[in-house]
Amino acid sequence: MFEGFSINMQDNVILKTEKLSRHFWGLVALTQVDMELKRGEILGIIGPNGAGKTTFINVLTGLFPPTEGRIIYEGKDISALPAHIRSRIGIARTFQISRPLVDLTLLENVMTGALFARGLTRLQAIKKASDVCGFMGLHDVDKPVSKLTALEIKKMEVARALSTDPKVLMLDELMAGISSDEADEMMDLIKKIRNQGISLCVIEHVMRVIAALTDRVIVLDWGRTLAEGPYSEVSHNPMVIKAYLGEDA
Amino acid sequence: MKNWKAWVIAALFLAAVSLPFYTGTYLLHTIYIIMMYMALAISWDMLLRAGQLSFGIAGLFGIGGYAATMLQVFTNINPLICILFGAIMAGLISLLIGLATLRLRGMYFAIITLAMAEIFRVIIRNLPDTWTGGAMGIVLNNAIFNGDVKQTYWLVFSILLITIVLSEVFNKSRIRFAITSIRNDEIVAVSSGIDIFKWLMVIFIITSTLQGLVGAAYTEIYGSVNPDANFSAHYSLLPLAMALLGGMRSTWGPVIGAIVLGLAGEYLKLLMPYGYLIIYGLIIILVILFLPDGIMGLIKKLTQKK
Repeated sequence: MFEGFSINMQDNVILKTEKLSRHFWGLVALTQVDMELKRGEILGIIGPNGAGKTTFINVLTGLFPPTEGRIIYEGKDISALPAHIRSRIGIARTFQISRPLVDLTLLENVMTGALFARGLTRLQAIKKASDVCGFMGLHDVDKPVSKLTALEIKKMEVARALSTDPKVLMLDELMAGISSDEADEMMDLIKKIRNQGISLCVIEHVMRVIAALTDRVIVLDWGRTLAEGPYSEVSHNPMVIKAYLGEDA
Repeated sequence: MKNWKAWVIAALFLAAVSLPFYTGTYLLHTIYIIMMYMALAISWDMLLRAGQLSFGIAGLFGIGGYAATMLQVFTNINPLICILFGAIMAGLISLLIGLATLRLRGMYFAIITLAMAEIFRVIIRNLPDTWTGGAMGIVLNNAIFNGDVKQTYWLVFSILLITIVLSEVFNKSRIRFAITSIRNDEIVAVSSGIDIFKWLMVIFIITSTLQGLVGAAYTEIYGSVNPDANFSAHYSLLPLAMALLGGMRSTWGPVIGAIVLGLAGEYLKLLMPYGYLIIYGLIIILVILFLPDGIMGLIKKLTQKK
């Protein structure tokens, strides 16, 4: 009865987790992570290798269910929804290691999101995918993916996610494997995406990017939240420095 | 000449429809047998395009055949209705099998389908003789169309046509995007909103129904079923070899493969009635070694501009 009320209360939070945990058999990948992603925000997720960043995104997008805890999206508990439904309600992602669909062209890769997450017809999907490719600066869209450069494949991943018309977009190490100039171009695109009203979670190892791009970061270490706040604060936190550099730093 | 493909297809279609008017009984018989294998090969390939390898054609082929024959024996209605019934039964059984097995992938799914055909055979064999005829099977009083070879040919050609049209729908519509995504990367597929299980179920049921349809037509044409003949691994392996030879993941690959292997088989059978299977095996081995993309792959390579 009061559901509408509670949604209004948290209207500026689009996605949040409550004590989210994920265990793989005995291995604890995430423990009791609380996160809030505000509308239109760019949230950085940082942490050393193996901290649970990608697992966090995998649980949020539904690739595997949480062991404990809840995921609240637009006021609703989506913890039990399968991944393809989460894609349809507006949660999109890219992958740490690019995953192009090798038997489709660039445009066709991008079309899949529009076709199945949005349920568009093929003509509509071609239009949508062309628009998104244009936005991402992708030309020659009829090329097979085997002919694409690393940057083009990264952009294609973002375009494929955007073609689902997401409200939340998660970027998993988008800057890995591209040059510094290319990273600058990518950062401009990410800002433009945010200006369209899309909220972003950005996993990144390049601190320059995190510093320039994010409104706030959370630091994960051994699957738990170590620190949270603006990057300028967090980067001076002794615990964070210790997690990244070790005891003697 | 942008429409040359359409003209070629129209000409082939007319030639195929009018074939019985200028072809002898033996050749017509040979051709419709090849067409049945062709339909099986295409349907097998359709499931492969979604990344699922099946060795279970024989199981669904046999189910279709038994369902049609049993309905024929018990009700003696129009054989065409019995054939339809056989197809529907194969579809229904594939629905149950799919619910249980389509969470499996790769080798695990393949082994299950292989076992499935064998399980069906054993069950049918051990059912009461008054139902399935046990190990002896059932012999019908009459073959469909009283054995008229022309009408039989048109029946088989219709089934092949349905299969080809469905296969082309798979290749030309949004279905292609779903099955290619699933085959290439399931994680990307779900992230694009694709309900993998639903799509695999739909495709498995459609292809199984086609295999049941061919099996049902086969038994109505020959007027008999028995567990060892109708569930023979032959019906799983030969269509698979045809698709392999012609080139997988297209409609025309299995078509070409079926023609080549079908005609070669027929010719070799005359040369050496018992040894021809060795040559079959040899062809398959050579193709896998030297033409992994089959004849279609070779044609593509030769016609591609450098």
